[in-house]
Amino acid sequence: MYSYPPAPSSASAPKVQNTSQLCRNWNVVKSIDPPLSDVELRLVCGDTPDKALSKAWVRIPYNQAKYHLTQFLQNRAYHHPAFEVAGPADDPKITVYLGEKTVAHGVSVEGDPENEIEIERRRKIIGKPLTPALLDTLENWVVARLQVLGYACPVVKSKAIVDTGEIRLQVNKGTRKRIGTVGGESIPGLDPGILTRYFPFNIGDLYNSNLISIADSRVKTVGIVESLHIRKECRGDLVDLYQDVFSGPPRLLSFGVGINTEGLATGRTSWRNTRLGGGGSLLDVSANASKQLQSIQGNYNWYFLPYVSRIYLNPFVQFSHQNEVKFEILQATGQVGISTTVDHFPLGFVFFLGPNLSFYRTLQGQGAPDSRFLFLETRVQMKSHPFEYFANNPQAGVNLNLIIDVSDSSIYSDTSVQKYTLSGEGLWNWSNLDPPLWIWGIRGSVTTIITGDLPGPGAGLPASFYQFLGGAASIRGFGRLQLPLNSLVGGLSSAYLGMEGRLSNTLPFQLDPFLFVDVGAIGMGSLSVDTPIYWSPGIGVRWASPVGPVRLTLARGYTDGSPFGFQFYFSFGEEF
Amino acid sequence: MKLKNFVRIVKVLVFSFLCLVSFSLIAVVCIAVWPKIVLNEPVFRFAAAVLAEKTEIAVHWTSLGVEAASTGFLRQRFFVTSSNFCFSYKQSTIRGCTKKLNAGVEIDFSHLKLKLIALGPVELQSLHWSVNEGDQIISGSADISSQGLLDLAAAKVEGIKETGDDENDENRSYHRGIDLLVQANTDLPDRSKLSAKGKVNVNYKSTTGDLKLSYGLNADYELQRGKIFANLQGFAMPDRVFNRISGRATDLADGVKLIVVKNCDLDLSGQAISEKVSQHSQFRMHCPIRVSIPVPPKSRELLKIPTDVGILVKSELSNPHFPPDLDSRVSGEIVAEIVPLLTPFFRGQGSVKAQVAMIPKEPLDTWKVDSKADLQLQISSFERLVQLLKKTAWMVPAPFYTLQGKGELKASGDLSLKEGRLPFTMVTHLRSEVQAFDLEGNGSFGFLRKDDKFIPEMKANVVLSNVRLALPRLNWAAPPQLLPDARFVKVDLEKEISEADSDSDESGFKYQVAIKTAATPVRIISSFSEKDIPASLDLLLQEEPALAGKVRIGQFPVSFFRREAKMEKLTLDLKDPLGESRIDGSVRVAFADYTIHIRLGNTIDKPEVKFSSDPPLTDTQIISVLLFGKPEQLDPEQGSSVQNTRAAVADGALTLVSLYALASTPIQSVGYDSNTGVVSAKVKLGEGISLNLGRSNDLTTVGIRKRLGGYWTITTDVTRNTDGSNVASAYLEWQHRY
Repeated sequence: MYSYPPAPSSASAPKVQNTSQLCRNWNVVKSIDPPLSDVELRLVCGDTPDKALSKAWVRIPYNQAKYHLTQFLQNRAYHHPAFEVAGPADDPKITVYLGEKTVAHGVSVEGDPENEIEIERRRKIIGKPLTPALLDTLENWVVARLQVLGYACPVVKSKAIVDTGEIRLQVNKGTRKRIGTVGGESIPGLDPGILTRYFPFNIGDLYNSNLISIADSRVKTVGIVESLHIRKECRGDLVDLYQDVFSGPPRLLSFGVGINTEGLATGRTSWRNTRLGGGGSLLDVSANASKQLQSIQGNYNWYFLPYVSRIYLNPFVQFSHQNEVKFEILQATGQVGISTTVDHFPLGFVFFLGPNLSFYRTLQGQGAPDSRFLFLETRVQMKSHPFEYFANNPQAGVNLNLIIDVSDSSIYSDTSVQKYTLSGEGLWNWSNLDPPLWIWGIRGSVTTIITGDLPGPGAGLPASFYQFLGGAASIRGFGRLQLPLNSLVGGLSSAYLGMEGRLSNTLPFQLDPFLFVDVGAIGMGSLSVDTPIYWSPGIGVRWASPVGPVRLTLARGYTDGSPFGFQFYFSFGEEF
Repeated sequence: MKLKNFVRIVKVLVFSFLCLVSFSLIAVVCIAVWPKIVLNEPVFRFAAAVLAEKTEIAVHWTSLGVEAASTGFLRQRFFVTSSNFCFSYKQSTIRGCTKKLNAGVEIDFSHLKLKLIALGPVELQSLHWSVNEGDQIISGSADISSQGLLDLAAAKVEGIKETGDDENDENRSYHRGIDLLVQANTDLPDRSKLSAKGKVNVNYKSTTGDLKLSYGLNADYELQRGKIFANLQGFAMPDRVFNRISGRATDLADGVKLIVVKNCDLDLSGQAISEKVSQHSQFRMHCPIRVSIPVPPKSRELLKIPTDVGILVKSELSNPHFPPDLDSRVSGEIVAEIVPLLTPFFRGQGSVKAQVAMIPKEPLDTWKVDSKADLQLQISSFERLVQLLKKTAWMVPAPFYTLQGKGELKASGDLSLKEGRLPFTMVTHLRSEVQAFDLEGNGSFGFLRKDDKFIPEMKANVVLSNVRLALPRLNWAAPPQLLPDARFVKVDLEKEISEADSDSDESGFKYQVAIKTAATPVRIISSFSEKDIPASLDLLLQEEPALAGKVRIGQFPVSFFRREAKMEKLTLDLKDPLGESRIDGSVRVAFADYTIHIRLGNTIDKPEVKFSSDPPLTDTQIISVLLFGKPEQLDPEQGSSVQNTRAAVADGALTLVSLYALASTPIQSVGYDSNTGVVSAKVKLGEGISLNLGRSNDLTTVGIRKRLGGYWTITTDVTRNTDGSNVASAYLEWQHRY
């Protein structure tokens, strides 16, 4: 009997050994996790005689099989297996003592004296089985981290000391590189360089791989081409970008069913032509239907300038029917405006300015039965690039929206109204860990309407103008648009603030529990809110399902400190 | 009165005797302490005169001095220094001179008896001597220098016996002889010890006039490592020196445990060249040697490997002088024959013959040594060897262990002493049910001399004349990890590597093995292809770079992109590291409407993949055809996969293995992260079932649309309600571009 390394002595070996049979003559103390694949088994135990390409592979000599198995075990973090051989040398019985899986105990980095990588930010490495895949993950993470910092072409090599579990990274960051050129294929029928209008970077900017991904995402979202890949090639202190485009046909037809944060089933259909004219204008006609809202709308992003520009005219028409608990309204809207996007790292902006002509017919609830408004609408959206980058898995960034609608009764409007809405959300990744441990969020909205009419019977504003709160999108301890309580009359002002803390990437099955509290109030007058103050603490859980996030919340509503009741929400696709 | 006088006389006598004794003792002590009182040049000259008168031995010198140093009470060490010291015997019958004589001796005066207890160092500079035998003069010269100190404390002349007949009878022959029994021990400067015991006989025969010195010695030589015991029997005559040596040496080196010599005859004789005075030397050696080689007991038992190798060394050398003059040419033949080894598994035999012509005192590279070796090692039954090795740690791996046949290694040809080379050839002829392994090779073993080091070296050319081997049945789309991941190291190993790097020298084994295929390429049986894969090799294995050369894969059919394709060629120009090896390949995939050529270039780690087709298609269309069988009308997921594949190809992120994986499996979709170069694929396992291949990373991807496959997506939108509030919606959507 011999073994190398020495098999555990009988004194140290477990008295009761959970032995599993790998194949004839090969036993394993405990079981290999994950099990060997069929190919791996063939290289240890031999192939079946009827399928083997040669008899030579039906039986694998012990030393060779041991060599193979050692590699396969290394792939599974078993770095100290021991082999005990008994029986005749030409037909030995082998017992494999797997030993414990080696786990990563520490990571050190050479080549980063400034600690730009901040390896301590990387979670889910320490304590994990020391496998080649783990080293790949870590190497890729460091590469990605450096590419965000402008090191477009770093070289990262790792070494793991299996006796100590220490991982050593050797990093050659190279130089920080700026974007030199953007080249690549043009899109048939479009002016060259059209896609650059979606890029959140300019030539000369410091390379940042996150911005490359955002560009890719924006193009996919707009749908101007089927897909886009931006390749890079380092050249001295510059990095040249090449766009590989798969254009696909320009027209896109879609049908969909789903649910929304209002907790209701919804359906939609749309037809879109994403490449109209040389400027790549976008025409989108769509219809939505849910129990509460049915609409049909057309939108046109007309890039009218004769060169590649982010400025476009934005005509929009919509016909809708909204049926809420406290009101029911028909609306027809026509709008045209000039819009543009601006990116200034780390922020991206969308500006819109234009007239909006809307007709309302209130079928139920407070407000004028029929009304007409000609607004001058101003919209500003500010979205930070991290918010955009992490859109699928929100964890950082800020998103703010400001909407101002102004009408005057002397200009084709029934009533003079000024409506201001500021809404937004911010997310912070505590300690900037990756993947995050605690994600803290804050969201809120402030709306006020300045008009001569007061809410209530005979008011001149359409019902949809009045402010209600409650629901998954605002105060989660109350039903949808339930506030103000026991009143069908909405306010002219509202404000709410929600805060949430989510424990992320800790529980199994990608379940993230979270705590939250929402606070809000409604004011019957302009620029003010009245008591009571509504608030609702709650708990929830988020599941990152393969097809999108699923959230369950349970909150209790309070009115001026008095408990009101519990409210449960289920949502799919919604993030904080 | 008389009594009184008598007493007085007695007293005087006693007193005188005591004075005499005291004086003698004082004299002895003075001589012992200050021996130069008596040991000085005048005394030596007087002694030399007496010696010449009594024994016909005459000695004279130009100068002679003695230095003495006390090494203990009644022990003295003397250093004799003389210039032009000459001696002669019987009126110059035997005579000699040395230009300079330096000799040290140590003498013990205790027991009131002189005893030589140490000899050395000794230096005789330019010693010339001659023996005149009437019509023949034997002469010679030498420089003798010995820095060692021969300890003769234990030496003793156990007996001197004179034998002989009556020499006064002039009509009868007579002989005179002296037998000496000697014993000596000495510590040599290199801390080794030599002890010898034996008998020396000096004999003179009047009828022939021969002077014969016979001797028999047993000597033990204890080295720092190992021991030598030798028995020397021999005699020396004016025209012949014969020695017969038997002995054994143990533990002299790692590889040699025991060397036994039995009746090794060394015969040096002088023969007249002409009728004049000159003689030349003939040296004959007939020396059977048995060498014990270390064989692990288990292997010795299993393989029946003999532990003793018999070698017979014979030589026939001549020199124009007797005794041989090392400044003169030595020529002749030396032969070493290996006694045939025969085991059930191999047979070994051979000989080395060398014709030498050299002047020993001249440098080695001036020697002319024409040597031929003829060594053979035959493995008569590879399968029996396999069976036996199966029980050892050196078991033959798959797929070789099923081979049967024989192999032969021959080392025959000219040996070069300058380069220290031994040429060899080797042949194998092995078969199994589907495999073959025939090779022919030649090369040489040798030693490179670098400064004072000899570096073993092997050069070989191996021709694979008929090789067909089977690979294991693998899933090439997801090959197992067969080589250790070099990123994992042990602490000790890491230290060893760093120490090895710092201590690296050039004393290691040098090798250069060229491997080529003959006209018939190596044929590889694999699950790649239903037919053999032909491979032509032109490889060079050496220590630095470890691997070089070319591998050319010939044409063979292969299933590629689920079509019957043909690998037209694949050439690997091997570099170290392997990933930097250049590749040049071409695959032809035939579709109903298109023929697509895939060309591979650049390196293994960064392959360049180029597409062309007949009729011409764009790269995107070609990838579409390869992945999905059609150039256009792809669903969004397929379109994205095509684009991802194209991006991965453009980035060089698609390795040969991943390209084959894509080509050999039904792909549902391909993903590619250009930041990390990670390619992933979703593979169709069956209707409605898919599996994600490739490595996913933890990086978050951007986009609020998730493709489910085909035309289906999950889309998350945030829309603004008419009341200004945001509504997040998630849709399961069917999308179609047209």
